[in-house]
Amino acid sequence: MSAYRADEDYDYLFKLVLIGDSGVGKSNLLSRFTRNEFNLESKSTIGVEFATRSIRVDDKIVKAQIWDTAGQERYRAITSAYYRGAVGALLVYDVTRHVTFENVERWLKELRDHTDANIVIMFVGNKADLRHLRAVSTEDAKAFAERENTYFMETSALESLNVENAFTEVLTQIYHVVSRKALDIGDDPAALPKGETINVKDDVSAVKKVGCCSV
Amino acid sequence: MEKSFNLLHIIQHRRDGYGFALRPQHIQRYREYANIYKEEEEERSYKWNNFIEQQAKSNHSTSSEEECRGILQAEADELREETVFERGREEDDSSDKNSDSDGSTKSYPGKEVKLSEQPEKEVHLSEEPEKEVQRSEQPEKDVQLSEEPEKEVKHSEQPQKEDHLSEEPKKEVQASQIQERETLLSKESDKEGQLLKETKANKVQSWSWTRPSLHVIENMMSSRVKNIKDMKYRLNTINGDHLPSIKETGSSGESSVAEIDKELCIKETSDDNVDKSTEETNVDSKESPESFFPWKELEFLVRGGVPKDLRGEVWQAFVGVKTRRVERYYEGLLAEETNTDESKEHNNSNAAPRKWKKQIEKDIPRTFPGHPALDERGRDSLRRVLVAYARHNPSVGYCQAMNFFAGLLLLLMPEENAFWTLVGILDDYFDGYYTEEMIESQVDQLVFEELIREKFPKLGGMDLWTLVPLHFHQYASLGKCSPSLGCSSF
Repeated sequence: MSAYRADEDYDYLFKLVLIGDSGVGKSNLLSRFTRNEFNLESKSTIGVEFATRSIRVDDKIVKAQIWDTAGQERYRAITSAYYRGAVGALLVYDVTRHVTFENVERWLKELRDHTDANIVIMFVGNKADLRHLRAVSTEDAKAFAERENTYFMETSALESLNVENAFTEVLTQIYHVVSRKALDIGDDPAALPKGETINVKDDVSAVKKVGCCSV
Repeated sequence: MEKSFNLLHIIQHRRDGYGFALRPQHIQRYREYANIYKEEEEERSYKWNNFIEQQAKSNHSTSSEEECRGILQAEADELREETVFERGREEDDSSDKNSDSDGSTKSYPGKEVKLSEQPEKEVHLSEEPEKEVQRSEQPEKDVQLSEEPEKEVKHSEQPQKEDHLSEEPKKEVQASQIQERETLLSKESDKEGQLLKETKANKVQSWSWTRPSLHVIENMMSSRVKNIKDMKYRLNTINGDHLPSIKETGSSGESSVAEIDKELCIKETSDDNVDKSTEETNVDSKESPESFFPWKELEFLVRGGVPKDLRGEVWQAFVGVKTRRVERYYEGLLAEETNTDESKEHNNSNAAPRKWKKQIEKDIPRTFPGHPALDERGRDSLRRVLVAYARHNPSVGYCQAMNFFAGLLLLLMPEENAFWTLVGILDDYFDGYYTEEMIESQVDQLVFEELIREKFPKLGGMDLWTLVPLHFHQYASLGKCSPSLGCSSF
């Protein structure tokens, strides 16, 4: 609650989604990033949950509204409704379970079907702390990310490894896209909200307005 | 988990009355309000008990059936002996399960539950006629496999109760069936015996009847269930087997029990017998006891919350567990698993079951993690209930969120009761919500979105907030339960 007021002050609000197979650690990535918490005994995510955190990019405050989704396949019909308006995604797999890596392509398709083509995607190999159990090599994952033209990072929510980096990188990239588009448009001050807007939708549509995410 | 450990937690207010851990930031407030909660709970208990007593009284005065049952009581010895044996184990099981599960005050665990098992007598008495049939038609089986024949007869007995008109033809069917069954049984008897041992060793048979005072509500609610059960029985007769399990009814997994049920439903609407039975159970019917039932008062009580020690049983009464329950069905589902597993492990035909089994395994430790009731034994129960449901209804199988339903139920009632309550909730109230397509969930989501747009145009764009289909699960996964099921928010 104490952070509540600070939450209100931001220049940009970006909606991100966390997707990937069940049990890869999406919820713990989220809790690590937003509350610096990790729970070995976490509960299954049903449907969707969300959390927010604001970070500074350049001289701007960027608020991330992050939607965490249920991993079970059949929930995609429900969770995909929450992809709308997302400008960034973290597609998570578990480096110790190869099948979660194999399923990444389907998740990617899911994203591309339901989100804007310009969405910033970070491919995240989580549980990198379990070195002796690794089943997906960094090279394979990197190659995949290059082929699919996404960003890539290996993380450990448990060891707090790269979690901050992964989210910050996505938010920064989105910010760059948005501000570059703003520059392209020129000196139209109306194109960008300057902090006065608190409505989630307005902000997201403002992003759309400047052309980053024309549907 | 040790009882003392639990008590320690309660005393220190680390857990609430249901054993859920309190968040550190809430502990202070919980302490402050602890007395108020206690008073409120006492008031609730008082009101509910009053209501139930009144209902029980008025019911007794109107029903002569009760007396008939009293006479039959003497004949129930054999049956009772059998169940007393089961109960013995059950009590061990449930008493310590309750002591770790509810984690409440000293007065709660075990005792309450045992009290509630009393009505068992009455219920068994009502099954008395069935035993008569059993004796006359197949005495030898009593020796061979005590439980099998009873079930066999029971399947066909239920429709008889419902419509006396069709009694005759059904008996014929029944007789031929029994013969088939007999040969089958003798073949399977060894295997069955083994499974029986297995399941008993696993203590899956824990089942207890609800307290008699709740029978009035239970009977009311059960009248809504009867038609469904009727269908299930017919399903049995169609398949000619003792358990209406999935594999037997829906061959490839494409055609489901639900679909068959629907088909049957269509057929049944043109059936005189069903018309008759729906007339009988019609709420508005003048003769019906339901019309005298103080629904308003009950609704008021439910809205005020169900006291903790009644909650598990009230839920069961509300979904009509007594009427739903088919003897040995639950054990059968579990046994089926052990049977098919070995033979089909390397077969591709059970890809779906393997999928949901994996998901269940993932979710078991992620269901109310840290709750003292969900220790190793509690998790085994949870696994069995979920697996059994998946087998019962393969068109759903397992869907995340069901783990929280089942987990919550297991905190409040014995395992098999939890299974039947889960069946009642998911098959009736959440029909179509958790299937592979989750159609009903999607419909709710869209309807809610539309309503928000209409009623709160300023929020119109906030489709981000379409949380309604997740209403129950969200609460459940937070360790709370939905107001629609009568939980308080604490």
